[in-house]
Parts: sequence; C-alpha cells; structure tokens
Amino acid sequence: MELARIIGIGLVTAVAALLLRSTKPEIAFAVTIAGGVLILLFSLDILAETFGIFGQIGEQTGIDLTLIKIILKIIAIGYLVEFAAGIVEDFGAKNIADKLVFAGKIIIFTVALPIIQTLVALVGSFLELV
Amino acid sequence: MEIDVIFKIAAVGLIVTIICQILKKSDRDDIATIVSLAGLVIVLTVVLDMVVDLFDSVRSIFDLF
Repeated sequence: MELARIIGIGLVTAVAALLLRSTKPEIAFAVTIAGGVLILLFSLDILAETFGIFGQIGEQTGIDLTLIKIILKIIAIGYLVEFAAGIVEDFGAKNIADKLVFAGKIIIFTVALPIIQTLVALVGSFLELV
Repeated sequence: MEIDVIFKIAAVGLIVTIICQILKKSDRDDIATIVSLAGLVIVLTVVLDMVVDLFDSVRSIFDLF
C-alpha cells in the first residue's frame, strides 16, 4: 500500500512538472523538489521501522553501539547526498552533482575510520593469540 | 505533509502563468515580471519548509549531529 502512494506521488509530480515546464520552468523545478522531498519522507518512515532490528543485532552479537551508530550515520549521509545530487542534476549542473557525490563518499570514508581501526585491533589481537 | 502540497504548488504556478499572460496582453510587462517573481518566492518558501522538515526528520531518526 505504501508503495502505491509513493508511485502515485512520483507520477503526479512528473505530470505537474511537465505541465509547468513550458511556461514557468522555475516553478516546475520547485514542484520536482517538493515531490522528491515527499517521496523521501515516506521512504524515511518505512526505513525508521527497521532501526529496532539494528539495536537487537547489536545486543545479540555484542557489537558495541558505536559501530551501529556509525552504520546509521553512513546510511543518513548516503540518503541526504543522493537527495541533493538528484536535485542539482535535475537543475542541469551535472558536474556539481558529481562533486556532491564525491564529497559524500569522502565524508562516509572519514566516518567509517573507527570501524577500520577496530578491525585492525581485532586482527592484531588474533595474531598475538596465535 | 501529503500530496496536496504538490497540487498547491502546481495551482500557484498555473495562476501565476495566467496572470502573467493577462498582464502581458495588456502590455504591463513590468507588473508581469513582478507577479512571476512573487509566485516564485511563495513556491520556494513552501518547498523550503518541506526541505527543512525532511532534514529535521532525518536528524531525529538517525540521531545525527
């Protein structure tokens, strides 16, 4: 049911943007942004339900919470960068969209550094045991 | 935060285009540009509110910065 609503919004936005494109391109552009935001908001609600599972995984496997928090942060960064790059690309500035995606990757890498550190520490402790 | 936002924006766009056409026909082009600017500002404020709403919900769900 949720998917039907999102598809409906996408179609309506496309039609509205098409309608307005010939006379007022900037308002058509605003309609596409609004449609994109609406679709993201609905998909965000669906995504929010899955976060309980992240907590359970953390408790069962004993992974400390900071790593789970980093994974969530990476998801959020990917979410926002994809939203912004899509809009900028829609606006016609393809290279700025690519730069945004590139910056997003760099930020994700810097956020993911602690995971790499714990991995190296883990491997190091295994080697000392052997 | 439903689909009626898109209908409102599309309605504002249509109204602004009609008004601009009328003003252009009665050769008041300066007022036509002002009207289209006003329409654009209204639409952008509505869209801005939605983007702020999106960023707040992302921040609250992912409890980021």
